Amino acid sequence: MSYISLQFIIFVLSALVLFYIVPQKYRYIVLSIASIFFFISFSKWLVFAVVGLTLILYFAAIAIEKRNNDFKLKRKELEKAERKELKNQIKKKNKTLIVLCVSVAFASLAAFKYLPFLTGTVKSAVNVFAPAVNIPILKLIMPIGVSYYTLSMVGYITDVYRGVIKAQRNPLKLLLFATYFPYLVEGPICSYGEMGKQFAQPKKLTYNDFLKALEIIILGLIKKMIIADRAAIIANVVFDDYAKFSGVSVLFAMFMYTINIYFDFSGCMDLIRGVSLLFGIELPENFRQPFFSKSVQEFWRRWHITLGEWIKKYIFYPVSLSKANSSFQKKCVNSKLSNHLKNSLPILYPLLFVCFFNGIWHGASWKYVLYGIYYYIILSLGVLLEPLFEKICSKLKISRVSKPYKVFQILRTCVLVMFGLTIFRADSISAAFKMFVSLFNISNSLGLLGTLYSKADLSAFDYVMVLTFTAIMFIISLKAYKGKDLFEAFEKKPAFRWLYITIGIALIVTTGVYGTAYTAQPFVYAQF
Amino acid sequence: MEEKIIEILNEIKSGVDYRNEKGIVDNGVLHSFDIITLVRKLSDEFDVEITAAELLPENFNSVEAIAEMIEDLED
Repeated sequence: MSYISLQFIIFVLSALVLFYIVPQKYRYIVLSIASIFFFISFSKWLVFAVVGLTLILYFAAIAIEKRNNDFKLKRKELEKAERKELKNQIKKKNKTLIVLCVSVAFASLAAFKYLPFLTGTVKSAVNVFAPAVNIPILKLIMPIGVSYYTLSMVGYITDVYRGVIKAQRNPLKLLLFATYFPYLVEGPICSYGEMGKQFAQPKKLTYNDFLKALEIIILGLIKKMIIADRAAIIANVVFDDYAKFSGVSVLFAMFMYTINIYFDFSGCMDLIRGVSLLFGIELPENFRQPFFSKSVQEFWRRWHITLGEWIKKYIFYPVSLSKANSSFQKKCVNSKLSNHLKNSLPILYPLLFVCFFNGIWHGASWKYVLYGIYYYIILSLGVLLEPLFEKICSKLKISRVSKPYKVFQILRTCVLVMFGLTIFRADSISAAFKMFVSLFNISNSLGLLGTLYSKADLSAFDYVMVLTFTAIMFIISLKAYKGKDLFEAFEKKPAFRWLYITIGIALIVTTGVYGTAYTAQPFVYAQF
Repeated sequence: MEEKIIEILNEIKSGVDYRNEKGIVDNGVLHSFDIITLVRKLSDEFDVEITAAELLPENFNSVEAIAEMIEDLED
C-alpha cells in the first residue's frame, strides 16, 4: 500500500472515521490497529520483528526506570559513601542493560538490512586468498521501515536511560510509537518525548487545521508527482546508461537527480505531515530550505533534519564525550598546536563516526560508505581550513557577510551536495567516478543532450513543468527562508487559499505522473 | 559563575549578547561542534562531568540555564 494509491486513501479515510467516532482517550488504540494493519499490508508476519523489539525495549525501559526510582527512595537513608556505591552499582547494571538492548536492536537491523553486504564482503575477502571457497550470500526479507523504527526505539530506550523521558507503561502505546503509519516508511525519525504526549492526547482538529493539512498534502503531491517523478525519468536515462553520456548531459542528469530526490523526499514528508495532522498529530519538519545552506555543515541541519538530530544526540555527543575523545582533547589542549586546531581536532574523531553511520544507514554497500567519507572529507576540511578561508577573504578584501559572498557560499554548497548525491545515486563507486571524469569531456554535448531527450521520451511540456514548478518551489522556499510562510499567508487570505487548493488538485489530477492503475512511482527513501 | 560562563562563550563565538540571549541553541547561536567545545571548557573550568544526558537544548539556551546545570552537577 503506497502512500499515493487508492488503497491508502481508503485506508486513511476508514481510520479517520473510526478515530473520530471513539472517545479521545481510546483513539490511540485506533491508530495502533491502523498502524499494525499498515505494517502487515507490507511485511505480513515480519510484524513479529517489530513487536518483539518493542516488547524487549518495553520491559528493559521499565527495569531501568525502576532501578533509578528505587535509588531515589533509598538515597536519603544512606551515607554519602554508601550512596555513591549504590549509584555506581545501579549505573553499571543499567549500562549493561542498555548496551544489550541497543545491541539487540542493531543486530536485528544488521540481520535484515546488512546480511548480503556482510556476507558479500566476507566472500570477496576470502576469495582473494582462496578463490575456490564458496561462501553463500545470505539475505533476509526486510520488514517495512526497519531502518526508521530501529532508530526511534534506540532513541526511546536511551532517553529513558538518560532520564530524559519516563518509560511507557502501556505496550500498545509504545508499539504505536514504533509503527505509527505516517512515519513508518520514510520517517521523520521522531523522539518519544515529542510523540508520546501527542499519541495520548491528539490535538483537536479545527477547520483551519483541516485546511492546512489539505494544503500540505497538495504541496507534497505537487512536489512528488509533477516535479520529482518527471526529473527521475530524465536522471535515470543517464545514471542507468552512464557510459554513453558525458559533459553537459551528465551534469544535467546530476542536476535532475538532485531535483528528483529533494522533491521526492520532501514531498513525501509534506504528504505524511498533512495526513498525520488530520489525526491531530503534528510531525516534526524534516527539511528546512536545505538548498539555501551556506555550508555543508548547515546543509545537514536543514536536510533530513530528524536523522541529523538522531545522529547528533545518540552518536556525536556520546562519542565526543567518550573517554577516548576526552583524553585526545586533553592532549590537544596541552600541545603546542594553534588555538584553532586545539578546538577543532577533537571534533574530527566523533565526526568520523557520524559520517560513517550516516553513509551506511542509507544502504548496505560500499557506495554508501564512500558517500559518508565524502562528507567527512568536506566537513573536516571546512573545519580545519576555516582560518585559511578567513585569511584569503581578508587579503582579497572580500566581506564574508556581504550578499554576493553568501550567494557564492550557497552555490558552492549546492554543487558539493550535487556531487555527493551523484555518488548516492550511481550504480557503483566506479560508475560515480566515471561520471565525474566524463564531465570534462564536452565534445558532442548538444548531440548527447538530444540523445537524452529522445531516450527520456518526455515531451517539451514535461520539461517545462519540471523547470516551472522547480522555479515556483524555489520562490516559495526563498520566502520561507526569509520567514514568510506560504500557508500562514493563506490563513489571512481565504480566497487565495481556496484558489491554491482548487488549482493544486486540478494540476495533480491532470498533470501528475502516474504509473499502472493510476498509482504514483514509489518514494525513493522508502528503500532505505 | 555566570561571568566566567559568558567569558567562555565569547571565546567560542564572540559578538553575541549572551547575557540576554535565551535561545543559544534554539536560535542557532551555537551548533553541535561549538557545544562540544563549550562542554570541554566548562568541564575544565568548573571540574564537573557533563555527560550526553545533559546535552539538551534547555540546559544550554541561556547563561542561567548553563549555570543551573553546573550547580546541579556540582551537587
